Amino acid sequence: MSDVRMVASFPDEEQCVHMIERLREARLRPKAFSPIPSEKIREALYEQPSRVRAWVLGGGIFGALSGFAITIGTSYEWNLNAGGKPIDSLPPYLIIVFELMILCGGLAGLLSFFFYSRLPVLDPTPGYSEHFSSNRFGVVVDCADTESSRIEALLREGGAEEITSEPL
Amino acid sequence: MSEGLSRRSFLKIASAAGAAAAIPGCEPVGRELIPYVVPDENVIPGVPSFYATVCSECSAGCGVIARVREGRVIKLEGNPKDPISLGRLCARGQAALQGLYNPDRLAHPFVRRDDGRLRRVSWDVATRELLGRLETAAKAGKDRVAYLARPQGPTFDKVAKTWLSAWNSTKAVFWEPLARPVARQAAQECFGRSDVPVYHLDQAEALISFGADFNETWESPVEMARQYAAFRAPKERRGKLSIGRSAYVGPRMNVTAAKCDEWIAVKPGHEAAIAMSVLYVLVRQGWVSPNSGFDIGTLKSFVQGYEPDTISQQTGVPAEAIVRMGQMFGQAEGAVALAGTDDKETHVAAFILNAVTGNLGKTVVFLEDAPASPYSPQADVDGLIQAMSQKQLDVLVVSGVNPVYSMPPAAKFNDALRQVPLVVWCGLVPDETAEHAHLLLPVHHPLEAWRDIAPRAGVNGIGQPVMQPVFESRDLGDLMLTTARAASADSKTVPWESMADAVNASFQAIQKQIGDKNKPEDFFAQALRDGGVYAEAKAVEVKFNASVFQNKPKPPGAGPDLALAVYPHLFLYDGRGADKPWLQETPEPVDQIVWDSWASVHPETAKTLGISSEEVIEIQTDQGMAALPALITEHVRPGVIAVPLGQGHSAYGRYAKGRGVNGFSLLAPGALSATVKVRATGAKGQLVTPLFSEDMMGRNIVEAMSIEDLARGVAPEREKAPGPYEMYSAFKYPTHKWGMTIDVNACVGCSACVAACYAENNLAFVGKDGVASGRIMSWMRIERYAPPKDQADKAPLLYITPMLCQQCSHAPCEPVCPVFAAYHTQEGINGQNYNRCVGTRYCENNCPYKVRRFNWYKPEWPAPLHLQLNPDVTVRGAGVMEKCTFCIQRIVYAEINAKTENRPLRDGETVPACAQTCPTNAITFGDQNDPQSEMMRRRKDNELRAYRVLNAEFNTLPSITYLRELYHEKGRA
Amino acid sequence: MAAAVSTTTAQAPTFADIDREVRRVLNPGGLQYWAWICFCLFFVLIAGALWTNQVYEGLGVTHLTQPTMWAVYITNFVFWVGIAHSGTLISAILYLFRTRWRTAVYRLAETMTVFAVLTAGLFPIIHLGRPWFFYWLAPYPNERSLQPDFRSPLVWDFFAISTYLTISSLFLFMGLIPDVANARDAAKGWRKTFYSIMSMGWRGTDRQWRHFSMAYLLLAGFATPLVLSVHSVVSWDFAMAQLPGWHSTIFAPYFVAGAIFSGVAMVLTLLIPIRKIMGLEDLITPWHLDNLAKVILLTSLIVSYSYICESFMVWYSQDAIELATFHQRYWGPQGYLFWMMVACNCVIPLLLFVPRIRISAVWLFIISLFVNVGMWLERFVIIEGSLATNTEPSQWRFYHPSVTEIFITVGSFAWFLMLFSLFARFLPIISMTELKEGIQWLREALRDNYRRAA
Repeated sequence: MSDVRMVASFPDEEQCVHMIERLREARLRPKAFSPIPSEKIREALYEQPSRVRAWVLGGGIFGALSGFAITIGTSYEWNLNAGGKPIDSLPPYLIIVFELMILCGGLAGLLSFFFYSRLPVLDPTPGYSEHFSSNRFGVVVDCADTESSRIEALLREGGAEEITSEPL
Repeated sequence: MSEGLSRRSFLKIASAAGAAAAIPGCEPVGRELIPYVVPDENVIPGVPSFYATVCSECSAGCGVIARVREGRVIKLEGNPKDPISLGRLCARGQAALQGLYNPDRLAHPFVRRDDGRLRRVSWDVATRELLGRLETAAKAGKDRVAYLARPQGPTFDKVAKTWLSAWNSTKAVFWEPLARPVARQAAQECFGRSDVPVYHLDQAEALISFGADFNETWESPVEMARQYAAFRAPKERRGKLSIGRSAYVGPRMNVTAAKCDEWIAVKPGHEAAIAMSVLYVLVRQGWVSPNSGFDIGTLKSFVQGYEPDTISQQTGVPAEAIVRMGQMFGQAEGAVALAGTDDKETHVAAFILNAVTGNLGKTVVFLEDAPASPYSPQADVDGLIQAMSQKQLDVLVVSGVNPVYSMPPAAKFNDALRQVPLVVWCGLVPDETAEHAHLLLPVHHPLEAWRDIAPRAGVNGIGQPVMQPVFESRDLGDLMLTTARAASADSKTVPWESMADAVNASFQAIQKQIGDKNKPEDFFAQALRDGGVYAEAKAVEVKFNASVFQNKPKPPGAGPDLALAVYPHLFLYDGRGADKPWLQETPEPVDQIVWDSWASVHPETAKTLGISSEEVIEIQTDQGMAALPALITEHVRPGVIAVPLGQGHSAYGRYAKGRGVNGFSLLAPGALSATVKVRATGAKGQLVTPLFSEDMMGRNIVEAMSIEDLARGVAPEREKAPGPYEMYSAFKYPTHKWGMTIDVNACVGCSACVAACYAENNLAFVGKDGVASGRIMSWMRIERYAPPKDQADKAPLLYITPMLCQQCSHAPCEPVCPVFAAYHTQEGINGQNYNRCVGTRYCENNCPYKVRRFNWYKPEWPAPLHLQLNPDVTVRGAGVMEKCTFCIQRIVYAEINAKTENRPLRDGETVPACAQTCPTNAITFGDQNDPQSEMMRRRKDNELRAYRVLNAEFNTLPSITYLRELYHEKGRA
Repeated sequence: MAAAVSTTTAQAPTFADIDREVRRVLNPGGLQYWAWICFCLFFVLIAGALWTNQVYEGLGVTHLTQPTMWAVYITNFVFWVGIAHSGTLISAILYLFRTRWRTAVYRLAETMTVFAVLTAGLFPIIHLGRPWFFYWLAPYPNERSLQPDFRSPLVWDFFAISTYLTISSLFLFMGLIPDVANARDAAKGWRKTFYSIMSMGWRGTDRQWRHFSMAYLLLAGFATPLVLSVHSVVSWDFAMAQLPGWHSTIFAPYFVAGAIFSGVAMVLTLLIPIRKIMGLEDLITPWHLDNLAKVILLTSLIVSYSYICESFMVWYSQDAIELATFHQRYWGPQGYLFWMMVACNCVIPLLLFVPRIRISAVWLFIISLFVNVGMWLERFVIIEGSLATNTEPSQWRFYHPSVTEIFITVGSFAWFLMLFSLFARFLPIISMTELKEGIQWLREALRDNYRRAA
């Protein structure tokens, strides 16, 4: 349906956010590039918080449980008396539980971040231009051929510095 | 399952191949050996055989059991049937193995070339050379061949004499440096006897030792220490719980003195005057026994001039100390005075003291049929040296002694030795005498050869070879017999084919003498199993020779301002122990110095002479000069420089050579003291000790209590420390819970346990540098602390106790190990899994007792010392922590034995090496789960004395309970 | 070149300014730089050779002795772990608190963290008697079913340090991704390839930023308790032992404060020369230095309080053995080390009460060096001193480091500096993204102010 990809760059975050809101009102599905993590762009595009949260929680719980399992399990598997302490000495084991919780939670966070943000990627991201990692905010919108001039006008009106379009 | 079987069958095959080469036996005549316990001749890999033999390290003549594994002797233990050792050994006995396996032992016969270098020759060449020279000498005239040796048993000495007679000579001189001939001279003078009495310290209530180091090297250390421990053990005497009262009179506080109530510090040579003064007190107070038969008048005039006040002025010993000794000695029921000095007067005075108090026949006993002195009279020694220097000798054979090292310079032995055309040295490690020898013959170690001993009436021990010779050596006795037989056409003059034959013949004579009716073979076989023939010797009544009182000793005078006191080293003795690393590395218990000799100087003397700690001082006597580091210590009398014997070797193997000074070089013949001049050189020496501080800093490490408190039933306040508590439910020990009770009061600090631990557990020695950098490997140490000065009258003279792993139930070392290398066994032992250890060393950090040892380097045992290694104990590599495990291999051995015999383990069957060898039985081992075990009974019977080290502070619940040392509170008798 | 920048930033820096400044630093470096790297490498190689020798010969080549089983190696371990802590403090804890001044220095601090942990992690292995079995401290399936003893503080250490290394590396790596992507877009040749791989194809899309922000926040949230736990665990190596001088309940907070103290000092030790050499005075301003100095001052006071508290508790307990140990610590033959430590850690940092000193790069550099020395001594005094004067007076023995130990210690510094220097020239040592965020924040704040004014 969409025929043309239009990429507009903005020098300012606010203009970029404004443009995204305008495009969304126009029932288009814009995407954005930004050199900094922008809360406003995120709020303009998504209602739900990232699902990474759930994964980190899950990873943390998994880590804590495996901490319990490893410490208590191995102690019972080869039941050795050391210093007259009980076989399942929970207080010291909690340290292992804690560290494993952090470790697994952290790893889950990183991996789920990679997963959800589709990293690593080998292919070039469509519409990307080098200055988006430096000092420009970009808005990408796919639209039908017929709508392209209207959208372009919309983008210019919003303060786009440079607009490129390519056929899909 | 199939795996286990195949491994076992593999072992069988492997052992069958190896066993043939490894069967213990004796060369050159193949004789059957009778093992002591296991009557099976075959070597079973993994199963030890036990052979009874005798210890030849000193003249005490202890019987030993040699544990032999796969054809190698790996451990010596006392022979329980032997009345002298009663199953115990001293440190020197334990270290005999390092003499056997010494890497510096002469491996082949050598001939000295004209340029002084040694040339290796075959035994044939060496024997031919020897025979040729002997024959020429025999033809040249009478007494052109001489034999200088230490007594090596009646049969051996007889063989030597027979051999000499084959070469037309009678010049057999039996000598050793510390033979103490004055004791026999005194006995001769007092009783007309040439033997020395046996003592029963355990029958006495009071004891005064005039320079006799009875817990160390005097006479028979194992037996004496045992008796002394019994003497000091608390028991009911005249209705009152008491311990024996003892005093030591001598220039240096050694371990013997440290275990006495009092150390009377005197200058060397003043002992006799003190003894006479004590006698004075006895006579004046009328404490002369009515049955002693002495005329009071004679005695009174005899002691005239020995009033305590006079003697006090002359010797500097407080008069009240002399009076106190007199009271203690005179009022005791059973007392004994011992003498160990180099002057006859002290010995005579001690005999008189024993006689006037009626103790002859009670605590001092002469035995019937006592063997004659094995030593030649001094005149023979002098005669030999004279003959040598006058070129009247062609061949001199030296065996078992090192006269070049241990003859005083004034004897001029070295000069005389140069006049002998052929000096034949027969020995183990080439020593200073070997340096001067022309023909060097490697002979068997006593553990490889046939011997017998007769240390006293009624004791005839057999020394049988316990293994194949380590080197290409021969038994000197066999060599003598073959050469003698080759020389004489008449076989009657040399009736024996070999030493084995000769020993057998001697025992046939003994059999006849005691009237045994068995077949001679059976008798001998039984004697071999028992380690000898032991019979009760009858005491003989002796009469005191009144003529003694006619030669009254001269009053001592003030003596020199500065005197030298030389004493035999507890381990190195006269120097013969210096080639054994275990003995070098075991710290002398009082001064704690290793691998060196040192001059003990009192702080006051040091101040006067301007000597700083460890400064090298030059000691000049009229005999010689020596420079060695000073140890500033209060364990020596002011005005006395005390130097141990034993070091200062210029040969005698890598472990002995080039360390310390030779005390003999400072002495006149027969003396152990001298007048000295001392000069501080300003050079800094290094004395190495594993001990940092002798201040216990008020911690409960070694504890003591007074016998008075014990009699009143009052425990020291320490006991009120908070009791142990368990945070978690206590661990259950289903079968055994091993534990130990150590009676500090019985420990005399002899360090036999330390040496036994080295032998049993493959402990590495680290040398002087290793000890200097704090890396001594001993699992056990003798802890030595001095009492604080302000509490000296409420403490023993020194705190001495063995310290080893306490096998805590709440072991601090265990939970800190990240890999479970330190863990607790089901039997309550603090196990250490060497293979699992990664070497974090956290366990030692957390150990309050500091008894774990780390392998800083890969331990080395230069061949063939490695043959001594116990195959039951892992040899630890570098980077591994090791520690005492209560000799877990011995426990397992006993448990397996019990299991195969399908019976429960008996109390006393499991004995760690330290407890096994402890001469005073201070260490008892047993099961804490069994309240009937001896170990637990000792704890219970001595509840007031029991304490656990640092338990109140750390709640470690040690498995070792110590029993407090007992002392007499001063001024509260 | 600094002058050129300052004209443009006279007003307010733009995104482009930041890019230019930081990208300028990312060059291969001149001869001096490579000489410095070789200098470090030389000491690293010496240390490596000595360690090889130590593994071959055994730990006998050190001067460790019977009671003093731990000394310089463990001191180095604790020192480097401590250094690591301030990095996480600045990057994670201050991130959660949205502290603005952290942005310019956090990457440097975080890099320091990772390399300090890497350095610290070597020492437990170097100090082992049998280092080739170090993996026995980790639980792994094996035929004996024998696992580590989780009651041992050393196993806690193993878990804490490896978790810390993992999490702080992830944190550093994640933060680097957008910056490396930025560098990639400006780079040519092999650097472009290198940065392309490092940035994993990051393009800064809205989707990427969405998950990135969440993951970064949560990692920071995890790193915060982690950093507190790690040094507590390290302190328990000592506090869990029964050794007088070690067995103390205040060790965890005391060590954490000490760690941050020494770590911030190390940040300054690194930051001040780098700022000078690389001409980053405009990005790292006296304002940053002042804030770091305040952290040092605060933690110095906490550390001083801990010393007093520790001594007070010993005195209050009247435990004879503890008293003796502390008496030796203050007045024993090595007491001078303790007093040097007090001078470095408690007295000299008091200079930071003077505002002028807090913004003086030279003063701060000198003080930070003293603090580093003082904190190293603190660990040495606690570890070696307590072991040397233990419960058994007959077994005391003082320790002096051997050549091997000294050069391995020097090598660890060289190793750390080498890694750090390599990083500084190849990866962005200052976070461009976060600086830009800061500028954005500033712009908005100004804009809001204008709006309110209008």
